[in-house]
Amino acid sequence: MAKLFALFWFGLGALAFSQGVASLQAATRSDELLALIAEESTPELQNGSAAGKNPTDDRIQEQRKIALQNLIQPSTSHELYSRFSSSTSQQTALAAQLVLEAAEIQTELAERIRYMCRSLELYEVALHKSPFASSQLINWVNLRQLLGDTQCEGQDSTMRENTDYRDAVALAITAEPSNPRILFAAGLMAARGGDRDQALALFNSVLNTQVGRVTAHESAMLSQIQTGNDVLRLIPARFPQVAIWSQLLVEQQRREQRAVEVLGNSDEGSIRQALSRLQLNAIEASRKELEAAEITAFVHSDRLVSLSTLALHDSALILGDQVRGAVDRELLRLLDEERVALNLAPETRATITRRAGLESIAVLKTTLASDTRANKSPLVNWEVSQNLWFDEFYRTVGFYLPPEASVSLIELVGYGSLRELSPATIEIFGSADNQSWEVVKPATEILKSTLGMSALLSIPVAKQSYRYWKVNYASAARQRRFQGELQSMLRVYGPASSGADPTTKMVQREVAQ
Amino acid sequence: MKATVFILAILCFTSTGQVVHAAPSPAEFVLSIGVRDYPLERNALNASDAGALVIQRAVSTALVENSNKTGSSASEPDHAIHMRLADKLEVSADYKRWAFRVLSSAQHSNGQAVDGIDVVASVERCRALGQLPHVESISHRRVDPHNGRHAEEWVDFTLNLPVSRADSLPIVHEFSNQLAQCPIFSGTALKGFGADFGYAANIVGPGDYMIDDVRGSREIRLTKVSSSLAPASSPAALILRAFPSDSAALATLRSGGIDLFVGAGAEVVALASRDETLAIAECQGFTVIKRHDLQFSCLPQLNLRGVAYPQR
Repeated sequence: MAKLFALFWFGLGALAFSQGVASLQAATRSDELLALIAEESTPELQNGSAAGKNPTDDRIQEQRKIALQNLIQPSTSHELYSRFSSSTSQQTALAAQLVLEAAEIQTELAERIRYMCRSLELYEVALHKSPFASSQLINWVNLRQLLGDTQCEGQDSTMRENTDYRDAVALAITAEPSNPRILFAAGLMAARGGDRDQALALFNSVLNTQVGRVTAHESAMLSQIQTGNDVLRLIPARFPQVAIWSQLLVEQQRREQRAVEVLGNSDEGSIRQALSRLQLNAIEASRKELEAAEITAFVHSDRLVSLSTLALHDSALILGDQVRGAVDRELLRLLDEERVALNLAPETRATITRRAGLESIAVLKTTLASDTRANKSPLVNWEVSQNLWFDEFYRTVGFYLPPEASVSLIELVGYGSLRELSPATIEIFGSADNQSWEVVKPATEILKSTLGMSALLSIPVAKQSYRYWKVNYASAARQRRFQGELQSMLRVYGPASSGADPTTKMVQREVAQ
Repeated sequence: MKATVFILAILCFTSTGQVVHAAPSPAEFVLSIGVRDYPLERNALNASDAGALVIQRAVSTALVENSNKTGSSASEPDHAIHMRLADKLEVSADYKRWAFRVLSSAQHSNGQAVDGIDVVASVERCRALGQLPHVESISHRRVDPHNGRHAEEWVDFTLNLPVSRADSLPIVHEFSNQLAQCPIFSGTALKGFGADFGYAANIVGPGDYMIDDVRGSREIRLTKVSSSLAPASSPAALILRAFPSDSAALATLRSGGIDLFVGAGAEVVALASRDETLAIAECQGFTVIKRHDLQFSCLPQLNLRGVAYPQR
């Protein structure tokens, strides 16, 4: 580490020597403006998005333009140091950031490089004033890596030639080991350099230290995921990261998952399996935190519900059956132990209990608007993706059940309120040929409940093996209180079979290991 | 060396918009087609009767379509290929590897985009039916977006061909014709319905029409999907009516209850030939009796887009 510091200081020292002890010149008009911008826009610039934060303030925007023009005018390194001699390190870094943002919108490559070179130089000036400023150091390294071997015309390159950027990264991380911005920038540089192991490790540190979501970082991190193992290396098995990244990953993996389902491509070691394992590990970790009294039962249940309600977006993909079952069982365990009032209504408990021992069945789904002759009309337009209100004018949601499967429970899960929806207005139909329909009586009471953000309608049926099924809102009313996207809204469960799906088995094996 | 063929064919699809089938307005043309008995137990996609032909042509389309051009196709087989669900074809110099780029705007009747997975699943279905014997393997790949372009879906075929290029040509020609006979469907629906795919309304494909209603074994109604690029003059809906006898179908045709009768037997054809309000045509092995003023196209295959009443 001592060598690293020495190397870095040598770089900075050489730079200072090369410029000499410059006489302080009077600040130009642009420097004054820049200082003003820096003072007025500091929060915006520090958030890294100077251009869009205050778009309505024309005065700031105009000043920014003038300052920018002055900043990129040809000048020697010596002159640049002189101009910023009275500015603080932070103000100089803000100027560098301003120029860098302007570089990103340049369409001509030569111009972009010119702006980047000037930004790099300004960061060097800032670092000269404050060598321990990690964020400036990492920005300098980032720019240097982006510029690669590109020579910046007319600039002093002593610092660049004498400082290994990898050492500078290490220095920045050592100075601020839990700064997610620094860790992310370092991860990005590792990724650009082709070091995926290092990139995944650094991005994992980002996700471990970062509170909340930074969407700007997500695509770079996602791009490092190529295998299931990468999922486990990148995403911490904890909340809320697991819930957030489950959704992101599913979106990214949708096509691959479809290939597995349609063409039977190998699912061994897939990202989806890893995701299930991660989710189970996160549930287990949260449970341990509860047992160690590090969190309350309420927080634990809230985490479980957050995972469960994620499935509102994409039920089967986000939450495999194994994880859904684990969430249900854990919620029931909490309720049984009665550690704390979990804000779950008795109906919710009954709903979870109903499905806890069941296995979800993959079915083809469809919906019919204005299905006024539900006992005669066929189900058509399969696998349509549609947002719908269930409680409006004879709406039907229906599904095709694969041969040899039987239904025990139909669930409608959506947003909104079920308060006005009377179970008496819900009719169930079954058919063997999609032509002749028979009324199916619910096995027991239809339950209405809520779980987190979702509203649930739980319709138990005696094990039936009709091939085609309809749930019809048998009313002309247009209440429009309960809505959802068809594919996520309609869920079908059957008795658990001994031959659980391969994904489930794989996850169970991995967890056991 | 790769021979790259860019063929812009009749592009049948749009890329955006929720597919919603709507009942045709009174002014829209609804084509009523008579066929003989049409039991629901029959799988419309595997059967070869007249009703099945209409349904097959309505609900799906293939990667390429048949061409009645012969011309230079013997020496340059690529020239005979007209694209339907693909917009680019790359063929290796030895004709063994064929790569089709799936038309990015192609959609199924339910609004889902057609992708390489659908094509592979559909081709595998055709292979299982023994329809593409020269295909050794097929796979799909996605080319991620770059330079502002959208992601591309490709399907790669490897053919089992003789070593000699000259010997390969007839097989290549046969392959492209077989490919035109292999309809593309939704892979998800193919997988989900399994052996039930093709019965009654159990079809999801990228055709101009979708099955909208099935009334016993008497009538099947198909509605034009909003994403269809078929001309406005083409039928907004098709009604397939099954008749217990040829004579019942002919009587209904004469009374205006249907517009054409596909699969007519010799006896009623003789009767129809003496009726100047009717006309007789041949289509894919079936005799068609139609109303005289109905424009009807069947070259080289039944073309539902070309069916219209020009005078109305």
